[in-house]
Amino acid sequence: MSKKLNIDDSIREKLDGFSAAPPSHVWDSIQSQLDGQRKKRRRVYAGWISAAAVVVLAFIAGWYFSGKTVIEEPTMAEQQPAPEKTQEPAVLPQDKGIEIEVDQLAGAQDINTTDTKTNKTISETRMLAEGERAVDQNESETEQFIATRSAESYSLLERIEAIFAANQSNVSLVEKSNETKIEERFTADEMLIAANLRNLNEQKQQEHGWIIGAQVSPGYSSHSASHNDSYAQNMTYESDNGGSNIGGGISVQYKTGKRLRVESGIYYAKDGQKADNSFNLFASDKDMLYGAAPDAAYDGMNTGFSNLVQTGRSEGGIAMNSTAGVIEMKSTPRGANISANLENSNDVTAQRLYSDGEFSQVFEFVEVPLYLRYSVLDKKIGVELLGGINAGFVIGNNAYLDNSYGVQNIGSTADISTLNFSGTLGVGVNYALGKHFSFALEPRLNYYLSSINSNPDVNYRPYRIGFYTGVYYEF
Amino acid sequence: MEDLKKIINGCASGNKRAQEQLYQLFAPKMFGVCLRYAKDSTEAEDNLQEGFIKVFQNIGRFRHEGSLEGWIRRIMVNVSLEKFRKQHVMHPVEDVSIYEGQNVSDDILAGISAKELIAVIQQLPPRYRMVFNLFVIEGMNHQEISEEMKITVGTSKSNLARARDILKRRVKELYGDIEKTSNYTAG
Repeated sequence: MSKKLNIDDSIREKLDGFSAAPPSHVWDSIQSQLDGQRKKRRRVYAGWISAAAVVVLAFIAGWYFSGKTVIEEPTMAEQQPAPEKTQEPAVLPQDKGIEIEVDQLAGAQDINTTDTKTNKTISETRMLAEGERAVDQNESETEQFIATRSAESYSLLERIEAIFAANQSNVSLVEKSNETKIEERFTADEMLIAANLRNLNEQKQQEHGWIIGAQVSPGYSSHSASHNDSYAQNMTYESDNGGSNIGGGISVQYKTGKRLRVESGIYYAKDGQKADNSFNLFASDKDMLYGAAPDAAYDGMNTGFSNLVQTGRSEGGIAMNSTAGVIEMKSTPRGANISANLENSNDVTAQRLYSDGEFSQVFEFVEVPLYLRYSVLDKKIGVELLGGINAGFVIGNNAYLDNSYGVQNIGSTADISTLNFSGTLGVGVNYALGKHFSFALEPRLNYYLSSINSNPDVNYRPYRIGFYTGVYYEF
Repeated sequence: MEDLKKIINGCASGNKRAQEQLYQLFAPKMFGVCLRYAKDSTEAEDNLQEGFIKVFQNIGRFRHEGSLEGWIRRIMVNVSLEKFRKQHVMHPVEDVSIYEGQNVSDDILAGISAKELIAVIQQLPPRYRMVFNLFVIEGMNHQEISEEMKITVGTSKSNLARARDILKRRVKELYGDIEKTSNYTAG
């Protein structure tokens, strides 16, 4: 036995002080690895900055496009009638009144303020997250240290250190002093172990994680609508014409597993029906004279509306039944005339509004989605299915008349509910642009589940097909 | 000593020169440690590299009252054990009963260099090598080794005994010409 111990001792003596010069490439690789880590740390910051840039860009794009679509309206109106001059009066560009621009500006500002608020909240959250991350980062540098180590390793650590500490100071192992040392190290080890455990948890969570995204969506919106008879009788003609528009927003996804994600965010959509929901009645202002002067030639070139309206209401203004609900005008729009029903002089309450041009009812929504995403293919090119519901808050409700005086904001639609719910279904195709970024194209169908108009006579449900194009940043 | 403190602080703030100084100061000794735990010098180099990366990453947490060498050495041992755990979780242990009963005198050990001895240690089956190192060099007891390596105390003891036996046999085989005795059979 003692011989064995002697052998152990002599081996220990021989090996304990043993040193050998490591090859020089070891230091080179250490250096390059340390440099790499510095760069990596920089990349992490760069990542956060780019993520912030995505958010900012999204909002700039949002402003730009939301402003643009409204401004584009006259252009679109101008373009559409061009080939079919038989139906529409030519709209002169210089006629586009200043008041529209004011309206639009006001509209844009609304969005503007909402966006800034959101932006602020998000950037605050981001900063918080970044703070946390910085801490984590720090920790993660300690982490892999003695990875997978658990409580039982104290003993090893204590013991090894005790031995070497004792060796170094050439002091025989006085139990007392040794004990204190062990205690001190115990706390140091504890910290390391705690860091390790945190790291382990973090690694486990790598399947979990956050993704933020920003999308701009050109889309087509239309509606399904039905009205009860009494409403329909006095209604402007209903058209199924849809409109094109642009929406967009930012999203936050949380990975709950390898394939499943929960998404929320905030989107702006003008998927309210910027529908030209009124129809030409082939009526011209000469209709007013028609009965009196039957010889007057019917002027198909100057068609316009001849709609039943209600005036003399206690609330004031002029009410006109339209597809999405009753348009309440404050006053007679420019370029329109209002008159008593010429066919029936007994009917003093029914009145007619004559105007060329088109009426439209436009609703702007801020939608807060709750989607589930399922990743069908998770490769460089990925495919996802998504579905869920949105809480859609109506933030803009305007009615326009687009006639030779330009696009006028003539009022708003009555009885529109502020909060509505819609369902969304979509397919996403994304392309990874590196470790963190991906580019995505997601056609989505968004359909309001119930009428956004609380008037029982009107059932009006807008829908929208949007091609959500954007970038995602995965942390 | 003051210099060492300076170097440590320099390393903590990421100073490249300080890092190099620290490396130059401790790398040879730590390479010696890593060599004992590794199967060859390539693995030892890897462990040394990994260990020093950890040293530089964590040196900010080093408390000056302890021994820096002990601290760095602990990291090296941990890296080596970690690698062993990853690589040899289910490593089968060869039957070495045939090696038992060899006697090697201190003289032989005295006659071989540390380098030669390490070469022999490196050839031990991985688990024997770990147990042997932890027990003989780091001075751990079997209870501690069993906890560290997730083996029973009995396994630790038998691994150590077999490690010793193999070691003796190999040493004798390689360097024991002077002592060639008639009672040695390879089995």
